[in-house]
Amino acid sequence: MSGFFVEIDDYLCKGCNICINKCPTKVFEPSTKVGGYGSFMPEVKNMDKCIGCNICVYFCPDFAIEVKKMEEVKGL
Amino acid sequence: MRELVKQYLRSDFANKKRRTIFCPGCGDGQVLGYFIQAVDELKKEGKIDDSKLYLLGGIGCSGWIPTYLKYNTVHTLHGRAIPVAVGIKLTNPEAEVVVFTGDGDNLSIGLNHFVQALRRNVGIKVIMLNNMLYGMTGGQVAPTTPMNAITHTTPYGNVERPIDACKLAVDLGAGYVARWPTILAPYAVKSIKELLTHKGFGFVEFLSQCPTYQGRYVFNVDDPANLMNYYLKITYRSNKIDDKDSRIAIGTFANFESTKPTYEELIWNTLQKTEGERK
Repeated sequence: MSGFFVEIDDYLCKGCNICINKCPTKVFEPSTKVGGYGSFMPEVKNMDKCIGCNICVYFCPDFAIEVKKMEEVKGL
Repeated sequence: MRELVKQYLRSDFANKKRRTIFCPGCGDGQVLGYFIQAVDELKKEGKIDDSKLYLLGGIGCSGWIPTYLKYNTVHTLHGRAIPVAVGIKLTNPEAEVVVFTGDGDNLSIGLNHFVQALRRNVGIKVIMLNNMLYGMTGGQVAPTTPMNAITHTTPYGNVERPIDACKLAVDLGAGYVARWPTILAPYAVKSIKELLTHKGFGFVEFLSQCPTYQGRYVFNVDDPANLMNYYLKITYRSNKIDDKDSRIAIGTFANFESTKPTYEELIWNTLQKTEGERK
């Protein structure tokens, strides 16, 4: 288990799939879940692989991705 | 939502009542993020007073970038963002004026204003997003479209040579000129930081991807992530623009404090002189 918690916002995500392509450890995967914008959203499948490089956070044009340290997340 | 960005967005966007107008995968949203990151870092270093920040946008997708931020913003006429910026800078020389403009806005209808502001060395900052066509109106040919590129208005290929805004700015003596593709995020943030702390006229061009029109017609690359990577194939890293190379130069082409006085200093000095004579 890695020390990072990755979350994609349902409302903000527009489904451009930049995060799927740019993640160096392939945390994200395409899914059939439809977001608030009406497009297929990526899914956080391999959260334990996350190394906290924040590349997805930098590149997301809609600021939908949030990467937190596990200790900061309450209720887990 | 990203916590850093949330502090700087207007309440509608921070509370997730509205989204940005940009298409999925657009580079404008990324540049908005880089700008917020740069302003935040400068604020922490104590190099900028963000209450004096004035942001202006022209017409086009890129003109919408300042309207999401909590600062004083003006959404101006097509191509006329720079004259409004010069007006703000002249009335309030303390203000930090940043213009967000597109390639169709700045280099076709607003080219004269851009050249005149460069000539006068006005202390404003221009951030230009270059997506190589008119993205908002449906993918027509722009002054920056590469030769032989297919757009909606040039179905048999573009026959006009593109204009290089960075070369124009360097030739006319701008103090800070740089160009980066959106994929080089750390360079982009560093470049915006250098731009905001520069005194005279500063110009930064971003090679921004437009997956909707540029990706489909000009480059034949459909995916936004592949389009971001494609910019690394058609560019080369250099601090000097080489005319013989057919690729696009990326880098910092000028970074010096000009010895020439800025336009607002000259105007205010003249005003003080004439007021003294009247008394």
